[in-house]
Amino acid sequence: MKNLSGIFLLKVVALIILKDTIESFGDLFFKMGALSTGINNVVISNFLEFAARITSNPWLWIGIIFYLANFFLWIALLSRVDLSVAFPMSSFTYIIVPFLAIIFLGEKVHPVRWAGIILIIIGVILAGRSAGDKEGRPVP
Amino acid sequence: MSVKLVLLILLGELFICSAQFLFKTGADRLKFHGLNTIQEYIFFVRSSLKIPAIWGGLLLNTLAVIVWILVLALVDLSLAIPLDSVHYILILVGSRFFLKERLTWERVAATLFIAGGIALVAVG
Repeated sequence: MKNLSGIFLLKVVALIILKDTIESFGDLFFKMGALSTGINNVVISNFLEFAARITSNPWLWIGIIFYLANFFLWIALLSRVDLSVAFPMSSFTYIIVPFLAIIFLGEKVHPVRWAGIILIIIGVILAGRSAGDKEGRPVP
Repeated sequence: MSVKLVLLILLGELFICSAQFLFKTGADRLKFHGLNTIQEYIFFVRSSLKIPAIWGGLLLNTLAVIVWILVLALVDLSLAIPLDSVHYILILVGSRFFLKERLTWERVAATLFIAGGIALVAVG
């Protein structure tokens, strides 16, 4: 690793965590929107009713705004980092979503899932270690 | 699994991965200074919407969502989620061959750990 890569990596990690946090909250808002419809089994016969209820719910639209912000941050990241680094690194959502689900939705996370989350954390760290390849390209 | 289902899944993977390769190709052509102010962010969003490859990626992503909904209509969600880990491996291989990125052992190991982790999250 060369001189600039420490700051480069720090900025990339900060941007990815921001992007993944926005994406995870987007997921949380979609889930809250889906829960607020009161329909827990969507089939063909009640699909229109489900669609009408979810589109009249603010959580869905807040989720869509978060997803758009997430998309443009992803394009910004790709302009600075290789896809083979950015794609594995953006798996932070798999780490953030379970915590949001526990805190805001009262869901329980199975031990096998925790084992999977630990493997994902190791993978994200490994990807981050190989991020500093595009020297000299400033991160936004 | 029927032949139809396997073909649908392959088509979905093809759309999802090609969308990412198009996003990356488009992002490499982007020129912007930073994202420190609202003005800079708006300038960045406008410039990215002028790049055809990014629109192409969005179109392929939309097609992928449609294929994904068809797949979910045929199989259980718990069977479909581990497919997420397949993207990671295809993206890694595609980055090497289509985008000519350098694959270090760390990048390969990172992808394998995450793919394994997602499979565990899916079965857990």
